[in-house]
Amino acid sequence: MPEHSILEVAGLRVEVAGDRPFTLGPLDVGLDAQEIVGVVGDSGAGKSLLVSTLTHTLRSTATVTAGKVLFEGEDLLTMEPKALRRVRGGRIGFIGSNPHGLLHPMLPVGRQVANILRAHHPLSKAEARARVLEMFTAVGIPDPVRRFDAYPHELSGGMAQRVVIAIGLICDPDVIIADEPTAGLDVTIQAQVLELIESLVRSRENRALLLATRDLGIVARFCRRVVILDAGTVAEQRPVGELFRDPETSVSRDLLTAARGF
Amino acid sequence: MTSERAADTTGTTRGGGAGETVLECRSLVRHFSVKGTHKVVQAVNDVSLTFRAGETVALVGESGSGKSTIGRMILDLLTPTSGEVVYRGKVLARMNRKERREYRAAVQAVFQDPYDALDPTKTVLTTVREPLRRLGLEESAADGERRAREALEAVGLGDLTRRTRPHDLSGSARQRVGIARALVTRPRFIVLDEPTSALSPIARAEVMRTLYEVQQATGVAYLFITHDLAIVESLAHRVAVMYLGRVVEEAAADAVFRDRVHPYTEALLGSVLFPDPERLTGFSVLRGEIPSPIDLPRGCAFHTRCPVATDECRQDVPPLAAAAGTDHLVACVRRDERSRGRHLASIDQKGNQQ
Repeated sequence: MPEHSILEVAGLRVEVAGDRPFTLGPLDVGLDAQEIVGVVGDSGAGKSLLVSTLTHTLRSTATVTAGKVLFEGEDLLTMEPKALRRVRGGRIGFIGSNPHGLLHPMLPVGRQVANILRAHHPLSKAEARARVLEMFTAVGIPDPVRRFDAYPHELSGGMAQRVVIAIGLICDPDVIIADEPTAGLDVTIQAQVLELIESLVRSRENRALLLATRDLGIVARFCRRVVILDAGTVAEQRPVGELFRDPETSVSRDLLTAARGF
Repeated sequence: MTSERAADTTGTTRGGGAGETVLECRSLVRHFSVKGTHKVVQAVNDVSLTFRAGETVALVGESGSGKSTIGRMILDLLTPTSGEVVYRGKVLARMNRKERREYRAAVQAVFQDPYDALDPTKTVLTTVREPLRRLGLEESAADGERRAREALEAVGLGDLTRRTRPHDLSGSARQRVGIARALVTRPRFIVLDEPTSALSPIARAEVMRTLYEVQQATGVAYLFITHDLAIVESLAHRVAVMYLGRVVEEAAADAVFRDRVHPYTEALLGSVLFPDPERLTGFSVLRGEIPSPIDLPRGCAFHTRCPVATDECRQDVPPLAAAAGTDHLVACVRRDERSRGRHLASIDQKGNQQ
């Protein structure tokens, strides 16, 4: 098995109990430095389950039954809660979709980002504020000083999504896990946001991004490798260009056709 | 190839003399007043569109551009501030009760979210039959049920039982129930307001195919409101691009994607991520977001984000007019210079290819 320098998911198996039982895996996926890997599938393929495994936010009905998620030689899945708290949100950043669901409705957005930063780094309020303002500028939030004190409901979807991206990036993470980071955004904003995330991945040598999405257009433009999930298993895992030229499985062919219309 | 499918039908509807005008929007305007202020949201400003039988017009643009407001005026859910909706020569606002009932049967809608749009307590058969009952179009209960079954068959759901309810169905099947409900009155025009946005990729493809097949079989005209630009070409014959309440460019679907005369069209389509690594797009030219429709910029509303705006653009609103040497209607003062530039560029490309 090839070694991946940044993150290595090895033999992972997750089982969900309940009236709709589901098994994810066995799954082997890795992230190398500077790499953007797409995870694609139709709804129910297991993308979100993989993302919540990597971010350690599995529902109570889901259990990891085999495998490891190695980050710098340590298994995230068996890490002590204290150690995990240092890594998650800090060295491993998460960017979700649905910003209005992810942001606290009663806290100014700047403070929410600053809280995450201060949970990981011993900074004064003023220092944290300065760093957040810098990050707001970097993610393309105009007038960051005013936006710092805004509540989520005062922001448009595009602006709120940028705040969520700022949260994912504020601690300068090595690994970024993004789950449909541009769902619900207009194409014009989507392109801006993805270009920004891409440039941030490229801006540091030891950084990589795992990008879960249903949109093969995003994959075509931004990813180097792609993992096609189908009913919890890996249908294909290959360089993006190859997949588009020569899809090997019927699920890949269906997804490609669907992406072009019908 | 998906784009050929739409192009073929354009050829036949135009060339064959079929495709009579079913519905027209004439200079539609819709303003909303903002509560507690004297401010006005100019959601739609002077939009004219023509819809022909068997033809799909896609209305595209960012959120807040006024796409859905146009759909709602056509559906008689909103009254235009000025302008009119004309159905087969009759003005909607001046229709009598009988005409209005006929209009409701002839002009139907499919909305975005099939989870919200279907009553979970009713069986699918009852839901699909409902427009017939409401409009008094069924001769008997048996007749209504038969026609509901026909509509369900047309969308590939002929094998549902009498007891099937929305929660028994997948996302794609639910949306196809929505289409069947729109079809049951044999409409001549359907407003499709983001009919696939809530669906997974495979479900979206199924619904798109169903819409295509229904149009082939019945010759219904569609207004396809969407922000999903990567799939527009597969269904639309014509595309109208909206920005802040106005149509800024209108042309045949393949021509819009190829030539993009208006700077906004160029920017919008330039941001689309096509599922093809060879097709280099997704480079955003536009910065910032769409301005508020409350304080519209003076002159061409796009000038605040336009990379080629001049002082002239800040003066008057440019009319939607034919750009030289093309079939594009374009609302830009530089339309002719830009369309000639496109024309030359395409000749250049052909030359290089040979």
